Amino acid sequence: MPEERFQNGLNVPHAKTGTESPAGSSEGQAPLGTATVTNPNPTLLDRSAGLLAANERWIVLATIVLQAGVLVGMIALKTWTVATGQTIYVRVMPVDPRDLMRGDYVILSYEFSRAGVIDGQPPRWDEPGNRTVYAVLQPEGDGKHWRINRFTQHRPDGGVFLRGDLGRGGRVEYGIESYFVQEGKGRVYEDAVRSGRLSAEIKVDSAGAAVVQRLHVDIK
Amino acid sequence: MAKRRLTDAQRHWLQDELQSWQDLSLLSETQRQGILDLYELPSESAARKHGAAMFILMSVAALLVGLALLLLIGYNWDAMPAPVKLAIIFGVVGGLHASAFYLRYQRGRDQRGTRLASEICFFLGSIAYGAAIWLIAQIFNINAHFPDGFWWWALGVVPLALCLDTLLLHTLVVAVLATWVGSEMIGFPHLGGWFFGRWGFVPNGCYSLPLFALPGLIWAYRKNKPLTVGLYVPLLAWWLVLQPLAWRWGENMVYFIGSVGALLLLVSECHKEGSRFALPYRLFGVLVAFGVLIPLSFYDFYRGVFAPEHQAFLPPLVIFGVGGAALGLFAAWQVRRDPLNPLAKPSLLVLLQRQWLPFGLLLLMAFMSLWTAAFGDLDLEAANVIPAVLANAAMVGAAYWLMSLGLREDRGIPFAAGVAYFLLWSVLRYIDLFGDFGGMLGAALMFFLCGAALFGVAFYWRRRKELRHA
Repeated sequence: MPEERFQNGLNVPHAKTGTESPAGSSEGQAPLGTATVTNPNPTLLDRSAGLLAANERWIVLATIVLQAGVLVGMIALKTWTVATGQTIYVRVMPVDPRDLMRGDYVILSYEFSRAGVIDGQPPRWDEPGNRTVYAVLQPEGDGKHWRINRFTQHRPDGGVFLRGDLGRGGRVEYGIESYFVQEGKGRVYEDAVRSGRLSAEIKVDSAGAAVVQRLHVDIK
Repeated sequence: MAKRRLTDAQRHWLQDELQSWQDLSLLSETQRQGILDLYELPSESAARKHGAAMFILMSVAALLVGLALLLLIGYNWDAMPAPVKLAIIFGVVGGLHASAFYLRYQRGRDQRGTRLASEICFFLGSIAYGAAIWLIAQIFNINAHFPDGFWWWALGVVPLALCLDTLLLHTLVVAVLATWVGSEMIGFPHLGGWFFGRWGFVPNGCYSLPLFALPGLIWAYRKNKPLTVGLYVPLLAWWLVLQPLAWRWGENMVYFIGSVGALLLLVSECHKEGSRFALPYRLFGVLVAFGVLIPLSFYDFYRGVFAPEHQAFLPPLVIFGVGGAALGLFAAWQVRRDPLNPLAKPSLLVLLQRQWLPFGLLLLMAFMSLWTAAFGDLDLEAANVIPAVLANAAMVGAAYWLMSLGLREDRGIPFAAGVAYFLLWSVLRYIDLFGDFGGMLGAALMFFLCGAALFGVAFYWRRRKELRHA
């Protein structure tokens, strides 16, 4: 009868199909030894629940593999950039906070961290739209460092460029804005940047993704 | 059959009672012994207690050893090369999950102790997975959009929560998703919505949250677990409450928050009367909606609100639309439930009896939002009085609704909550209106009137109970 289906709330069939362990640490379980009632007219939910129960072991295994896959994926993305990217050096301006979740790290700011003009226009960070920005770089006279040439929202055909996201106030983030250091060692870099002696060694791949490899003081 | 447990005091009582029954010839010696054989012997009870004490002692010892190991690793963490760190991370995550898998599927799923141990191992493994995301980010200096870490964490835990039938994992899922929603929508409302890339023209509303939360909510209904429903309801409410930030309705969010509370109350009253599943919706609906009414009941509140610069009339239309749709669904469902039962009350009457306050609150929030949009910038005294009076009427109505709910379902907590809310309203009004004028006499009059009202309610409740139980 349709009335029997609505016993515990909104459209909840009271009978369940599939296997269900009688023991458990959660509330609401049937007592030990209670027989499971089979629903003669299983709904899509009943069938889904039955499928879940019948394949529980494989779903748990697949989830564990998914977790490992996420972790390996994080490593692979960055390893790919490191393995295939070009090494460049850029001058940095750090600010040092304390991040309770990730330990001691140095916030890095660069000449190209704020976009004054994008494709000849002021950055429209407060309007909805495309937020991807490319910072096209050019080498400095010292043959080591790179500096900003221009900002564009059209992916460049070649050369060295960084891909970033436009944020509040025209700030652009490229994923190279922090560098984790041993606890207490961040002060060394902060002192170096105040006197303009700090540089970041960065790996940049052909898509504009970048990874900070290390920081250098007084690079030659 | 496993013997039942008894404390020492219970055993002594049982033995004394059985002896007295035997002395009265109510029981034979064989029957007396048969009853005692149903329960564990003193030696068995002592062995069980000893086993439990040993388990606790060993658990504490294992915890301390684990903490020591953790601190040792933490102290040397910075000095370790990246491959060693990765080996430790994957070792911990994999080891915990492998142990949990073995305990659950190889050791025997019907043994309560191993099942509990497997659930704890899966929980710890899921926590370790989340920690691994941030540790790997630290090792490789990954500066990704940090709320994404919580999203990937939730993605890796939701299937386990649905499969493994444990409140621990659902609690973890809800905590992680709530953190993700809060950090994404409060910290980055200016970014576009994400769907395999950022879409700048789509508000950043964390639209994948229902995909994560609804399976858990449905699972909780099917497994008959109101406590788990009580985890997902505030999560969904939290997500709804933050939507104005994504859609740039940040001004005067209080009306939208109140309408979310009213929507929760509406859903609670859609449940069958007396259903335990209604309780989480009712609890959070009362906290949110009735809590919002408190500042709205002050006249001075409206001096500080202004009409929004953009989309001023959109929020109230959304509130009206959602409330109307929800009520229409409920009405249609009511009709569907009792199509042939001639003894059922007409659907409209049932609707009014249960939904007058939730829908009334929805209307009130929509009206106030409209009113602010229309007159907010004018700062007219008359324009500010009307919403304040309506909010006060709503507070009194809310208190009455709670009390009548308690009377209808014969439950003391809603009734007491209604009384407490009415007293709160009276104290707030005294502070707001009469504190500077009535003085001691004004306070005496107000308390007398409130006391008289409560006496009336108490007599009515007693009379109703007498009639019901007669």
